[in-house]
Amino acid sequence: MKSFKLLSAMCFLPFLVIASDDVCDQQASKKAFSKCAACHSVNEGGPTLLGPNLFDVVGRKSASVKGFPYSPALNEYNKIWTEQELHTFLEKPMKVVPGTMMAFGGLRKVSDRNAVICFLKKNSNK
Amino acid sequence: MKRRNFIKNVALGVAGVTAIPSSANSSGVPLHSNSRKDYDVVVIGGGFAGVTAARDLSQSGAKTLLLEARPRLGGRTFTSTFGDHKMDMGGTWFGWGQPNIWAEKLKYNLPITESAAINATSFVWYDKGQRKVGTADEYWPEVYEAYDKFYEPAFKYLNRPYEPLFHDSKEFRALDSISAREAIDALEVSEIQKDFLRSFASINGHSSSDKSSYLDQLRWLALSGFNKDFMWANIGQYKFKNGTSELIEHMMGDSSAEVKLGTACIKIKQSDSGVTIFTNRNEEIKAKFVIMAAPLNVLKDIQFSPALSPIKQKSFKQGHTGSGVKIYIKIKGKHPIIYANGTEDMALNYLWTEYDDDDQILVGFGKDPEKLDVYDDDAVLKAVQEYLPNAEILESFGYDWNIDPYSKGTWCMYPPGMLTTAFEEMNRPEGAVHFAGSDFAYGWRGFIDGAIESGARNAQIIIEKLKNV
Repeated sequence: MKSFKLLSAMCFLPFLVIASDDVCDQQASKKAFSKCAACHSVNEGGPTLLGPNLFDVVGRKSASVKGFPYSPALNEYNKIWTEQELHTFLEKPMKVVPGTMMAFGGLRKVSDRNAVICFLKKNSNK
Repeated sequence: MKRRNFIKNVALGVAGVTAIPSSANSSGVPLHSNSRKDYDVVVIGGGFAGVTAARDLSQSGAKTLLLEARPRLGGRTFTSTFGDHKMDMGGTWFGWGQPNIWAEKLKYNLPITESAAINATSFVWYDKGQRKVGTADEYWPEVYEAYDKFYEPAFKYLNRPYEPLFHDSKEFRALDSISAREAIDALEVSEIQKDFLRSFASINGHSSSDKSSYLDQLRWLALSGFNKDFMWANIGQYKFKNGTSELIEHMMGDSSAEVKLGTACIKIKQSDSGVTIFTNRNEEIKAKFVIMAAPLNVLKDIQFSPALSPIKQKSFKQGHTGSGVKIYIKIKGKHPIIYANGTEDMALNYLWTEYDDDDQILVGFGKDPEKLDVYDDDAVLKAVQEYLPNAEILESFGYDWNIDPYSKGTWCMYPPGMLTTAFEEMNRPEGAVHFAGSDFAYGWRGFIDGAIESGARNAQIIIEKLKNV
């Protein structure tokens, strides 16, 4: 994680501040993820709720959970969910992927997006 | 698919019941797959209207496809877990004055529970900008006196509430031509009673009180036997203990309709040979009849060929008024059970205890997402503290139905004029395409009950028509 810290320190623009494990407050990140939890499970092997399971999503190819009927728009998005990509998406998902079925206005605050990404990273094999 | 498996899959909201083709292009969806199957009926929209219609049609022997845009059934509600409870993010409450849903509840023997606020001990309201806290006896009499004035015309004009145009007349149309706000402004009640009524009209229409028809607002009391307590019992007391998804599972367990999730209808074309449904996954599906059970506010996004009648086009473009917010909020610690009722311009104009847990769970309503970003914890805290100044929020969640492309709104209340000038035409089939849904119901429009009523009626009409095809 040192590389992330270094990257954070080097960046001046707030949207480029990427979450590191060191700054990941477990309670805050879980609270931030409560905005997502009604529609997404995050435990390994968890069920598909309204949206796909998000275990190990960081670093995963977009629209890649087998059997989930992604919108044609997200099927065509074809990106890797890097932390930076998740930051961009979570701020305004419906603007970033017009036509997505995910009815979510977005997390306006960098700190909320950081917290959610922290939580996703913790729920991972990596 | 065996019933047990179907129930399991729908319960999980899993796409296992879909028939999304797995072959083809990079996105996994064929560019053009002409369905080889022709259906007797394709039901578009898997909310309660569509699920009811698909069940009834398939039980009659009709070859039926239920087409749903989202990855799940249930329409404008879904059950999730919040705190330790199964809770519905959209439509939640129903009552025994709602005959269609109550019959389903009895048929499948589904357990219910009640909102904690039924036993509220602490009432909070606003008087000339000042927060007041009191008892039921200090709150309700003034509110109920205002309701009596507001609902007065219902007794004369709505005594056949399931025949909404029974008393159609010049005077009746006059009630429909004005907004609830205009009617309230003209009532001889106190200023605080006007505030109560504006707030009440705004939660009922889930938008500013000047957006909804006064006449349409009057229905709920008539449908509840002209009894105010019973009206609240029907709209805000009882709910399924395990959420609405349990009813969906049972209804689908009784259905042999094919189900295709994650597939939106984008165009409907009618010709002498039948109806063709075009989907967002480049499929073409053919049917003898269609039940269009998508929400009123999304119908403008579907292309119809030949074009719909001008009244339908205008009404579908106009839509219903429901466009507010609903949010669940868990606050730290035990508190008195509250029922709070602010003015309509507050971020949340109603807030009450839903579960009296060790950390209390509240539900709040507001008329306008612009007034409350439900994803902003600071904004939610500010809205809650207008009623409970010391509340500390542990977590909150509200689903924004307004930005969901397959609802584009919450529950239905009609704008002025729609009931008396467009309702009959909106319900008139266009060729082989029938229109159904909570937004088209005769009685409890805007409720799950109305969805079931409308879905069942349209299914029955088509069952009869299929006998002559």
